[in-house]
This record gives sequence, C-alpha cells and structure tokens, in this order.
Amino acid sequence: MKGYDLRSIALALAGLLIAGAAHGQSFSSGTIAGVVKDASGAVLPGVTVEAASPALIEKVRTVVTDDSGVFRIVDLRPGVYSVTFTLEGFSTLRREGIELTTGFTATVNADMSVGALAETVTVSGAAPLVDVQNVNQQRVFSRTVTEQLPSSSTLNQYATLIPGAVLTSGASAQDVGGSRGEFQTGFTIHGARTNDFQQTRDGMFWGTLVAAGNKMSSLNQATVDEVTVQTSGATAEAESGGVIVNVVPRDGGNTFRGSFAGNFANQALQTNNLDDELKGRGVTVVAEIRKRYDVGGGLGGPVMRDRLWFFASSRYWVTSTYVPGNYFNATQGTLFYTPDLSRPLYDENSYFDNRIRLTWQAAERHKIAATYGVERNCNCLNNVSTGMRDAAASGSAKYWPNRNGQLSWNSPVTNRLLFEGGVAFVSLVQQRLRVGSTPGDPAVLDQERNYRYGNHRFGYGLSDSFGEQRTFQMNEKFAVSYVTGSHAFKAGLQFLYAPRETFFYQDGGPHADRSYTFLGRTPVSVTYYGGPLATSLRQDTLGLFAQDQWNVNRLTLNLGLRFDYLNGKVREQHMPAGTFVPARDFAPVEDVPKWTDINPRIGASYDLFGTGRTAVKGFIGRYVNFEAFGITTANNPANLLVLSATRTWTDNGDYVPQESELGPLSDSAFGQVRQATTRYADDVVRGFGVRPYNWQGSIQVQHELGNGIALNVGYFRTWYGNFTVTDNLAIGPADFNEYCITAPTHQDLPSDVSGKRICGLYDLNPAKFGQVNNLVAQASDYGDYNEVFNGVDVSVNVRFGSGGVVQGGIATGSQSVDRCFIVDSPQEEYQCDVAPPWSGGTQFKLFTVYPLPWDLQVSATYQDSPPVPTNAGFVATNAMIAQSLGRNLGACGTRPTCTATATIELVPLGTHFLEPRIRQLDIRFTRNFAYRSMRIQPQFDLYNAFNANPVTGIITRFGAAWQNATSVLNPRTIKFGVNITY
Amino acid sequence: MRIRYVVLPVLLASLVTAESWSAASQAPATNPRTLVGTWRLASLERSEAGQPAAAVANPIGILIQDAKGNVIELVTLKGRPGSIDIVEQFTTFQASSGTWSVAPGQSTITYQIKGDLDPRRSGQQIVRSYERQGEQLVLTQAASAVAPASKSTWERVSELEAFPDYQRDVVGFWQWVSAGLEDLNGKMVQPASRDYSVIVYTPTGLMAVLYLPPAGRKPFSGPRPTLEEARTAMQGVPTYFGPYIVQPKSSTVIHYQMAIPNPNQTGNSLLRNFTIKGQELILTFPPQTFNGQRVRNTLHLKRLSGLADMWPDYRQ
Repeated sequence: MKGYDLRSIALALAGLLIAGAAHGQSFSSGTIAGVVKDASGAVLPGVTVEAASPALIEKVRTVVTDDSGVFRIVDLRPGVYSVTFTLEGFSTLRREGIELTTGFTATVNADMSVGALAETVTVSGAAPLVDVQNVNQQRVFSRTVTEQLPSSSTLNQYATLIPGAVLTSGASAQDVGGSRGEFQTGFTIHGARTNDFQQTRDGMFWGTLVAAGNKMSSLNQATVDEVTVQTSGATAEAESGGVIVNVVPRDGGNTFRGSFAGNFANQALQTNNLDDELKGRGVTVVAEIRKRYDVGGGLGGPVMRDRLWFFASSRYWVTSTYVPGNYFNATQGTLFYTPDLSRPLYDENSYFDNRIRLTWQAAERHKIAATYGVERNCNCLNNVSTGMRDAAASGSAKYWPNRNGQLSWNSPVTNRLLFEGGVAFVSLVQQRLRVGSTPGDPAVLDQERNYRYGNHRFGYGLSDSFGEQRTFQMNEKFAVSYVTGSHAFKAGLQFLYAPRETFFYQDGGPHADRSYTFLGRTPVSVTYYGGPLATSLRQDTLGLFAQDQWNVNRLTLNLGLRFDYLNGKVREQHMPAGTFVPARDFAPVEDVPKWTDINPRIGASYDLFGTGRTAVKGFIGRYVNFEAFGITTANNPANLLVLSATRTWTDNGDYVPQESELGPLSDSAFGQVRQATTRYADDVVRGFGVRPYNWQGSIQVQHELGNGIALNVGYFRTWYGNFTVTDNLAIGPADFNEYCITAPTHQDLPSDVSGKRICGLYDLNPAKFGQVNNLVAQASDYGDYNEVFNGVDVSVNVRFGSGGVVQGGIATGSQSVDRCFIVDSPQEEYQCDVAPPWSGGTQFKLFTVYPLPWDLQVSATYQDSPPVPTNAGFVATNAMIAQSLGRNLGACGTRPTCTATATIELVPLGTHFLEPRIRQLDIRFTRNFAYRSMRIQPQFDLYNAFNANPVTGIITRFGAAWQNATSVLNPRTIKFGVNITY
Repeated sequence: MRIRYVVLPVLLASLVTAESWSAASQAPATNPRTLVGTWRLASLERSEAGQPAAAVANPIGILIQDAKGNVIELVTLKGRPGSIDIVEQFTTFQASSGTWSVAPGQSTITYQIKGDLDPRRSGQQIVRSYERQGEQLVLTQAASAVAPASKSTWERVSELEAFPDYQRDVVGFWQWVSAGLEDLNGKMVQPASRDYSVIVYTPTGLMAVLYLPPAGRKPFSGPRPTLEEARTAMQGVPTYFGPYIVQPKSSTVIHYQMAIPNPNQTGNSLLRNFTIKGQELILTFPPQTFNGQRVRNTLHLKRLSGLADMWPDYRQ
C-alpha cells in the first residue's frame, strides 16, 4: 500500500470516527471532573465551572455542568489549580490547591448552597489522591520531586522508584549514583515485553525503531516539567501496552525563570565493597570512577508577553569508569597485543543536549508549541567493558547527529469541542568511530583469551565494523474531543513513518576486509569479509482510535477501540563493490509484514462511597506487541549474503599469510547469495489479527486512608498470543533419539537434580544433521503456547507538610511459560512448563523527601530487588551422552573422534535463587539557602549508603567457575552537587 | 423591630400611588426591549416625609419584566433574623405581580398590580420614572399619601451563557389556573382556588412565585396588620424567589428559596415534577398523605409568555 493511499484511507476512517463521535482521558494532560449538587443532594445542571492556574497559558478554562450536574475539564497542563463554581442564586464556591498531574482525573465535587453570587465560599484542602474515573495505573513524578531525590537523573531512575519495575538490561544495569549514565535505559513491568517500553513527549511517540522507548538519546532533566510513567491500563491512544514514559516539557512564562544543577563524583569519593568471599568468586577489583559529572540548566521567559514564550536548556553529563584488567595496546598497529599497564581502559558515556521550546498563544483558543533539540551522545569505548576487546577493537558508539523536534497544536474551539494535532520527529545516526587505531591497522582475535584487538573489523554491524545506521521516524497525530460532562469522547489517528538505513564497511589498507585469528601469538586463520553491507528498510504504522469515558452516577466506564495497521518493507538495496566482492543489488520486498488488528480496551471505575476517596477498578485490553523491523529484517534478502569465510593459516613464522600457507575457503559461497533456508508462513507475515499481541487485565482498589495518604492494591495479569515457532520441515520427531545424563553433584543444585538422572533429552540423527528447511509458523498450528504474568502490587502514596513525600510499596509476580508441544525435537517438552517462584519477582521500593527544620531536608530511595537467578547450564560431553544415546552425538557425523557437546539446563531458567537480594539505599542531605530571588540548594549524596555488595551477574555455565561473580553492585559513592533556581 | 419601619415605607412607596386603575391592564406592544429582563435589586433609597433620602441596608429583590407586559417584583431584606414574628415577616417582604407598560414618548413605567401579598395593594397602579444606565435600571417614584419617595437601582441579570435546550419550554410567566390534591390515579380529592397567582421561570436561572389565597381577602384593620391578620394574609401564600434548575431526565424542576417571608426557610429547595402540554404547565408535588390517602398536589398553569418574551435577543 502506498503511503498516499494509506493516508487517504486513514483520513476517511478518521472522518467516520469523528462524524460518529466526541476527549477522553489523555496521559499527556490532566482532567478535573466532578458533579455539582445542591444542599439536598440534587444535581445542579448549568453551573459554570472555571479552572484557573498559572500553568494554563489561557489562564482559565470554563465549562458548564450538564443535565446530570457533571462537568469535565480536559486537556489541562499539570499544575496547581483553583476551581470556581458559579450559578445564579447560589453562593460562589471555590476549591483551591488542587494539584493536577498528567493522566490523572482529579475529582472535585461541589455542594452549592443558595446565596448571592457575590458570596464566595473558599475551600482549601488536600488535592485528591485517588482517581475515581481512570482505570490506568500510573506514577507521576514532578520535577520538583525528582530533583530532590538521590537518583541517576536518567530515564532509568523511574524504575528505581516504581515497585515492580524491572530493568531491561537486568541487575547488572543497576545504577549507583549515575554509574550507568543513559546506557541501556528502559524497563518493564507486569510481564511486559522490553520492546513495549515507550517514551513519549507531550503524548507523542519519541522513540526510534531501534529500541522502542530507548531512543539512544538522553533525557535532559532541565526540560522536564513532569514525567508520567504509565504501567497498566493504557487507553486506546496507545499502540502497545508496556511501560509508557511521557515527558511533559517545561514551557516558559511571563516571568523569567531558570535553574541550574550540577554534581560530581570521582575515584576518591568511592569506597571498596569487595570482601573475601567475592574475591574468592573471581571479583578482584571494583569498577573505579574515572570521571562523573553532570551540569545543566535552563532559562524561560517571555518573547512577547502573554503571546510567545521560550524555554531553552542545555545539559552535559559524563560517566566514565575504568575497566579492571583491560588496557590500551602498547603495540598498536602490529599483529600483537601488549597491555600498556600505565594506560588502563575505561568506558565513557557522555551526553550533550541542547533544546529550545517556543510556546505561542496564537489566538484565544489556539496554542502552538514547538520544540527542537540537538543531542550529541557517545557510548565511547562501550565494548571494552566486556573485557574482551581493546580500545581499537571496540571503537566508540557515537550518536551524532541526533536531532529531534515536535510541533503541536491545541485548540479548545468551544468548552466542549477540542482539537489537537502534532508532528514529531527523531533523526538518529549511530556511528562507530575509531579509537586508538589508524586506518589499515590489522584486527586480531586471540582465541586463547577470546580477546579482540588492533582494529574494529570483525564483521558487519555497529559492533564489528565501521559505518553508520541512520534511523528516522516522523509521527503525526490528530484528535478531536467532545466533552459533555457525563461523556468525554475522543477520536483520532496516528501515523508513523520510519525508514532505517545502514551502511557498514571494513577499512582498507594491506589488511582490508580481513581479520586474523591467533592462538596466543600463533596464527590460526584468516577471515575474509564480503562487504560493504547496506540495508534499507521502512516501516509505516497507522492507528485509529475512538474512546469514551462515560459517567453513570458513581460508575465511570472507559470504553475504547483501536485499529492498528503496520506495514514493513525492504527497500531497493545497492551495495558497492568491496575488496573481494562486486557490487550487488537487491529488489525490494513488500509487505513484510502487513498486519491489521482491532484492539478493544474496556475498563470501569466505581467510586465506592461516592466520596471520591475510594475506587474499585477493573480493566481489560488488547495490545499489539511493538514491532521494530523484526520480521522486516528477517525477510531481507541481504541476509542471504555470505559475508565472511575463513581460511586456515599455517604460518612460517613471518606473520604474513601467504597463499601457500592458507587452506581453502570455509564457505565456497563466499560473497554470493545463499539460497534461503528459512521462510515465513503467510499467516505470520500478513493478515488480520496475526500480529503478536497481549491482553492485559487488572483489578485495583484505591483508597484515600486519610488526608494525604492513599493506598493502592492491584492485581495484574498479562498474557500473550500469536507466538511463532520455527519448524524445520526437513526433520521430524522421529529423527531424534532419546538419551539421559547423570547430573553433576553439587550442594547448590536442587536436591532433585544434584546427582540425579535426567532423561527426556534428544539428539538429532546424524543422517539428518545439517538439513535445514525452516518454516516460521504460528505456534497455534502445533499446540498451546501460553505465557502469562500474574502479579500483585501494593503501594502507598503519602504527602505531608510542605513538600514531604513518601511513596513506595511491594510488588510481586511470576511470569510462567507453558509450551509443551513438539515441533521438531521431542526435547522441546523438557522443562516446557516453567513457573518461576513469586519470591523471584518480589520487590520493595520506597522513596521519600522529608523536610526538616531550618530548611534542611533529607531524601532517600531504597530498593530491595530480587537476586540474580542461579542458572546452571551443564555442558555434557559426547562421552557422557554416547552410552545412553547408543551412538555419538549427531553433530559429529561419522567422525571417529567426537568433540561435540550438548548444553543442558539443569534447572529451569529463572527459577533457582541462591544469591542475596539486591538492596540499595541512596540518601541525600540538603539545605535550602535563599538569596534574593534565588534558591540555592547544596547537596550531599550518599549512594549505596550501606556499601552493600550483592552480586549482579554470575557465571551460569556449570563448571569450576559456576556462580563466580561477573559483576557486583558498585560500591558506596559520595556525590556533591548544587541545585539553583531563580 | 427596626427593619419593619424600613421596609414598610419602601413597600408602600414602591407599589402604592394615588393613581387608580387605568388602561395599563393590557400589555402594550411598545414596551422598550431594554426594560425586558430579569433585574436584581442593587440598592434602595427612601425618604420619609420631610426627611432626606437614606439608603436601606441589605435590600434584596427581583424584578422580572417580559416583553408582553407581565411583571413580578419581590423585595425583602437580606439577613433577617429567624426570630422575627409573622407580622414582621409580612411587613419585611413585599410581593406583587401584574403588568407593566411604558407610554410612547414617556420615561415612566406604569405598573398595574393584579396580585399582591398585601391585600390592600391588589388592584393598585403605580408609576415610576425609569432610567437605563449601562446594565442598571434606576426606578424613581415620588412620595405619595401612603408611601415615601424611593429610588431603587436594579442590575440586569445575564441570561445563562449555556442555556440548555431542555429548559427553553419552561421559561415564561405562568398563571395559576387550578390546583388541588389528586390521588395517585389523577382523581381530584381536594380542589383549591386562588386569586391572581403567577410563577415565573427566567432564562437567567432565577425564578419567582407569588401564589395568593382565594379572592376576597379582607383589608387590615389598621396601617399595620395584627398578628392574626398577618397570619391570615400569609396562610397558604407561597411566595419566594431564587434559582431553579431543570432536570430533564426526570422532568423535575427544583426551586431554591433564596428569599422567602419566613427567613428560617431561606435556602430550602422544593422539588416539582413538571409536564408541559401546549400552553399548559402542570406542576406536581411529591406525594403526601391526606386523610389517610396518598395524594399529590397538582397545579395547572397557563402560559402568559415564553422564552421569546423573556429574552427577545435569544439566539439572535
């Protein structure tokens, strides 16, 4: 389908939707709603309700209660509001101090009494904490709270504050005082897929199709007004159902205001948390801070008073850590690696964000906002931290140029009818830059240490070659809302256009398009590369949605329906000639995939006692899984290129690979296009309702226990569908033979495993080994494939005093997978039904901001997270298997000496926990000083205050090194900082 | 009580003149549109004979004039204590209805009183000079034998910005035709009769009512009613003004008593079901028990004017 056609259809469909309808709840803005009654309890229609706030550029928004006495003021920016109720013959009623956050519907009911209009009754009270209308679960973090907390100021900081949130990159990504930078940000909750993590700005998609919400860019805190993290019950406006982080940007106002924040830590401010036990488990040194600092600020004010405002900001932050045991190469440019012990290696993650936002009140009812940002980010030397590459083989992942922007328009045409539209784009170029080498330097893999050095030339892709990946996405949205009080209808459409192009190449010189493999200093082989490699993909999506929030007395129904369309294509691709290959061209491949889905979202919220303080909520909704070129890439004909081949090298001692010393090419098809061995079934790639999806359901009870104290208890269930399996049509279950092994004996293995015989293992018959004719098909064609998450969250939210906050709770859950059917090998039924213990998914998190006398303040975050699982992958040799199998392993064919092995998980993955839980306490002490109009807040931070040393990564291969630690929580670190607002 | 000495002369000054019945009983078609509308009493001055004019403290009142010449005016004082007796309730609350007219080329309004809380004033005619000043209407009346001179300033009450369609038919002057207690099958159990009585719903969200007792009320024995005379005059006389709301789903109208003779009832609300059949409005009270039988007081009223007469600029 052509893009033009797509838009035409979309517009037509949107027109139908709009014609049939009217603003539902948006997670990019807030709502104030309620019912107005008289002293006898009768509802009052026709009451004029005004919401006023400095946060509103138009200052005041006005609606009138409908015939049920219900009112709803939507699309409100976060801030503190006062709401005024007026009706002729009644005393004017004013509610003040209503703190509104995005995605939250503040219930503000009013009881009016007969009296003169001029008589005003003002009620000041705590802002509502319970949303009795929306069914989503969300956490809202205002800048004023997050800037008070000792946290990393990255996107991941929200994971440290939300019970149940799990870092996408696992425990090893646990941040201690900014140690991780923005590297590998993203988190999940309630069993959601990592790809479903989404980042939006002002309600518009802000990710790339590289890694969903982690757009390889930064979050400039100086630009943030508020962040809403939605963790369940996303409305029909959302395509996928994972964590959605929406950033509400700061606008300038009629008064010039600004802020500055800075902090730093260094090696001298870090302690050592290694003890003898850890040293005995292989960890000998801590990752020492090389440099770590963060400076940023912003300034906003009027360009034209009451008409045009600006907010400009800039932030630069760096975190750099030494990599223990890894050094620069003292003999760079040669075929050898000699560690330069005077130059230890380090990684350096740096982020530079410059951003400006203009807000224009174009007319009384038209507001336009434009944001433009330029980022310059680098995960420099990011691959040295694995300890398996030197600087030259790692290079630096540079994200430059990285530009993004947004233009949005909001128009409350009347008090009932609202239009909104916008366009956002993210343009990201990921480059791999040379570090420490010169063009033409040789690249070597030392098999003895599995260590790469010399140059950045080991294949094609961001980690193994030079070149770049250009990702662009532009998304547009248009929505219309019609609000009657009892109904809040919203319909709209969203487009996404996302091309992605890559171009990877090896550098030239005498070693062009080849790398060498050594065993120590002995040459083993030469690998040749058939590049350059260029790919060009494109993905288009369309979403149409209609939703209504319908109040029926105390019941609020949230009804939504969404249509999703996704089309991927491999565009025409041209690859220039390389050292060993000619130029190549590939024809485009259309409709990989082409999916359509209808996704209903239904929820209900009941104000249990009609007081706006207790809500019982239920929700169920279907979401498509976020797709980022997965199937498109898999169907790229360029994948069939044979891009490398190896020749053995028997060197005569001169380290020059002469023809006479080289064996034959390991793959005779080198440089050519191999015949496809894997294809996708039509009902996987194209069709209605065939896209991988998930259903999410929740039941929640929210109750305001007292003034400023709210409790939320929720049950959450997520289950998935449209799984695929790969069926090798060349083989079948009969081609496998069963065998058993005797598990090793170890005190740390479960008693029913240690030393016990394990059967139900299968090996492919040698005659069939190597035969491949894969079909990727719907799993439902073979059997039941179930993946279900069940979990419970209990959280509290306490506000007290002047800015005091305590939030936190406990979350527990388990994600079970039941895939007990056979596609090819009967061994697929081994450990086919896995249900991790709930203890492995139990978290406790808490944070507080506690004002003290004399303008002192202490704030803290505490995390108690599950330990890393002690998996045990046992490598069984042919000798261990052959007797039971009655033959050698199939991989050995007819060779008399069989060195093949089979890896068997002794315990189901993620079910065996021996490590201590990961507990981390971070504390900040501050004092506020006032100087003229400035507030100056020096900060003293203590991260990992208890200097805890839980293991965050272990060796899971069963053997002598099993359970050795590969990473440990960073030690206690002190940071000094300052926060200035003026 | 001092308030009675304040309000009574005002009442007299406002409603009683030496003029007699005139041709003003018929609504003229030439009434200025600028005088049509709902007016809230902003200030009141009066002068006793031989005394300079003095402001009356805390006056509150409503004046509703439609384009067809119908008028209702209720005036009292805000914040009257709940302890005042029925005589003081009577003397501090004035209510009258009738017609109004402006003779071509004149700057006076002639009010013909058809019904008044005070039986002495029913049938009287009064003349006031008027002046429009922005959103204000200033009415001045000369001293007469029974009332001092007065000057009242009224502020125009805006019509509802979001005037709901479902309220449109309710708006108007409605004249009482008949009423009585009907059983739940609609059979009349206890009929009632009244002198000229009206209820008025305005497009501003305010309403006013003056239901009088049957015709033939006796005048008071002196210039000030006795306790018994006041009780008799007030008995069965619902009169009040305040906001009202219409709840279309239940065909219910709720009256809020912002001002009522008995200050203890201020702020109360009354619920009525309503039905409109052509030019007839039927108001039905909540069920009650009468002689052991469940009955509902049902009022039948005829339309004197409608929305177009109350709000000539509506949707223009």
